[in-house]
Amino acid sequence: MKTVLGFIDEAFRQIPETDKSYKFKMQLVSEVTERANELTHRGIKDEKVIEDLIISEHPDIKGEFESVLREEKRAKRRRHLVALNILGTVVFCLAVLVAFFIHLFKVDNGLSWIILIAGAFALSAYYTFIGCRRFIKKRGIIFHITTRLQLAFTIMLAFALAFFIMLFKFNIIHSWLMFPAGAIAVLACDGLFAHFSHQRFAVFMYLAYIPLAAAILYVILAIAGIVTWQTGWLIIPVALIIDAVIIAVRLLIGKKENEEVEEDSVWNAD
Amino acid sequence: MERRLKAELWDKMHYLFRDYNDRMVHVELHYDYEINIDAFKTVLACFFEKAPVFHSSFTDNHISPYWVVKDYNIDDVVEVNDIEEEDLDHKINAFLCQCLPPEGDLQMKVLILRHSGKTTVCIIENHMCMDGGDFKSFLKTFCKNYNDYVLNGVSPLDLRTGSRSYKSVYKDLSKTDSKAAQNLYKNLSVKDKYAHKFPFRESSDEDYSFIARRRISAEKFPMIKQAGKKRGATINDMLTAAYFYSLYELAGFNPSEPTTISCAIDLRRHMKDVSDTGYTNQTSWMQCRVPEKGRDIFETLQYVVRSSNMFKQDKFMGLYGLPLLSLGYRIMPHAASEEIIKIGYSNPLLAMSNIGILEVDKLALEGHEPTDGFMSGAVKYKPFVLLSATSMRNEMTLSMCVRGSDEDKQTVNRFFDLMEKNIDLLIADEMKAE
Repeated sequence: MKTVLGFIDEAFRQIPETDKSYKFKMQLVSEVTERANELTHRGIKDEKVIEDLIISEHPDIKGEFESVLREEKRAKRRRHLVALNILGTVVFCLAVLVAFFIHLFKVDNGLSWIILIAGAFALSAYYTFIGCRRFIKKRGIIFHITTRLQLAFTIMLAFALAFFIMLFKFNIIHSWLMFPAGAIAVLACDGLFAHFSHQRFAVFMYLAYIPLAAAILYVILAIAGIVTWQTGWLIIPVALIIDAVIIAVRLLIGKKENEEVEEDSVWNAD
Repeated sequence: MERRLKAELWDKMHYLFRDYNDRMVHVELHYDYEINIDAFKTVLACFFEKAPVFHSSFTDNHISPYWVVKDYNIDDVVEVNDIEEEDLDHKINAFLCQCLPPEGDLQMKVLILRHSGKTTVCIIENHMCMDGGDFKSFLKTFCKNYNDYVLNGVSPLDLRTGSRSYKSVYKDLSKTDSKAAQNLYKNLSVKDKYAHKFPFRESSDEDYSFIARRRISAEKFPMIKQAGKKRGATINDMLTAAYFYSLYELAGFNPSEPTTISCAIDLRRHMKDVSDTGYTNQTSWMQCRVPEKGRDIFETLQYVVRSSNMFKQDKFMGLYGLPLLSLGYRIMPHAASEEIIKIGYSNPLLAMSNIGILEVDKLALEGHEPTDGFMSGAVKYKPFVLLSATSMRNEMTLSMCVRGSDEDKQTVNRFFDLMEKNIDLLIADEMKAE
């Protein structure tokens, strides 16, 4: 083991002596001793081979140490962030509750509960943002179902909030249309999420969502009296035309990529 | 804490093949001297340390399977026996025909037989860990490391390590080719409506695993090459034509019916450099189809050449279906994806694997080249068959590993007789010229 220990000593000459580096060195010495015993137990009798094998498993001790330090920092930051989030959530909930009770007892116009919904919306939006930021770069087929559900829930909360404000503050008759409008927003956001997270099958989502959203939009606009029931349905064929355009564009892009593949192969041919 | 390794796509696929074969790859090498057993064990132990999948146990987790690295002792991997010359064949067959369960702790086993101052090395390994192509590379690297260790005292650590992912096949393609290849969702499984099979008997309790072999003499090898060159055919095409023709003769298929034989292709042909990849499987199938038996074997050869050329022209040869398999395994839990993939995947009834040349200079130990040897694929369960072909010093060995009865063994030997006869027909002109 002399060679391995000498190798470790040599490597630690490049590392400043600190408590952490000393602890890491001791841990490494213990690890390599254990590894040497393991290799002997596995049947390697030649000590030189054991030493060379162990050294080959630690080609960059300085790098290992730096990565341990980095990981420690990252873990610490993660712990702080989790603690901060928990604390922030508790403080925020308390603040919302205080605001709710103050409004309830001081103003008492029957709209105090809107503060609770707004608080829930803000909290949900914050955690959706964290979830989206974390997962958006990952690829998958059934992708990030929790984040997507969270996103849909947040959007519906926002529209519910808008509904209550419109109904109780401004007394708009068709306020309930905010719910189908929320459904359109959910579809749109889900499609955008698929697009920005580069989902392979995002295009199929657009193709399904566009006619669905158009049908809901038709109902909303017709009920709100913006379009008539007789002519408004034209929105649906328009959506289908948009679908057809998307398909055509995708096919064109695919064809162009195939042509590029041909050109590449000519270029790469021996 | 247990150490886990990811089960790659081909690990899972070969595990799925448990219904069709025993997943073992076999090799046998003969040396005319007594090798250094301690050195052999040291080199192999170092390789096991560098590639821990060989001492891992496969866990068939229903959601996502994985390998668990296990402890081992090299004496459990390498068995050494001193035997009499007459016991040699029996010992070799008994060893090569065994099956290592993937759930076991070891995925490779070696038998070293010392007899009359000579050594025979037999190795079996789980196909889930690596295919024939990589096994050949593993053996060559082993011999190089052994020689460097024994002759120069260099520690045997020069084994390539790295990713075992199927995605390595795309790494050396151009960006656009890689993107196109990763969208090849077409399922190219054999869908032969005639479903021609090798004429085995029905399975019975008396079936056992055996490896039938036939040697084609070294004089014929250059003749096959020469005759093939004249007709624009490769050695592989010549063998495949003989395979087709012999099958029609042996099984009595209707001569006007088409037949398909799946030929194994090494996907490493798409990779310029494999030095940064680990030992793994990178094999796919090429469907070689003849529309009819042909009036004579030369017409069959023409059909084979046409069929294989059509495949060779496709730059994505062998890459079809990989994204579909990957998708299948990604979107569903393993237990469900296995069932779904089984529906879409049809295992070839008739297959061939040309493992190629076993280079004696690269398999030499301490300057002693192997005097004889061969390599073969897994023991197939009826009605599936795989004809393996390897050559050493120009002597070709055809082998078929089957789980069958004595009668099946006779059928395979009759098939080899026909193969020999048909190869002779193909090289008749060259033989006359000699």
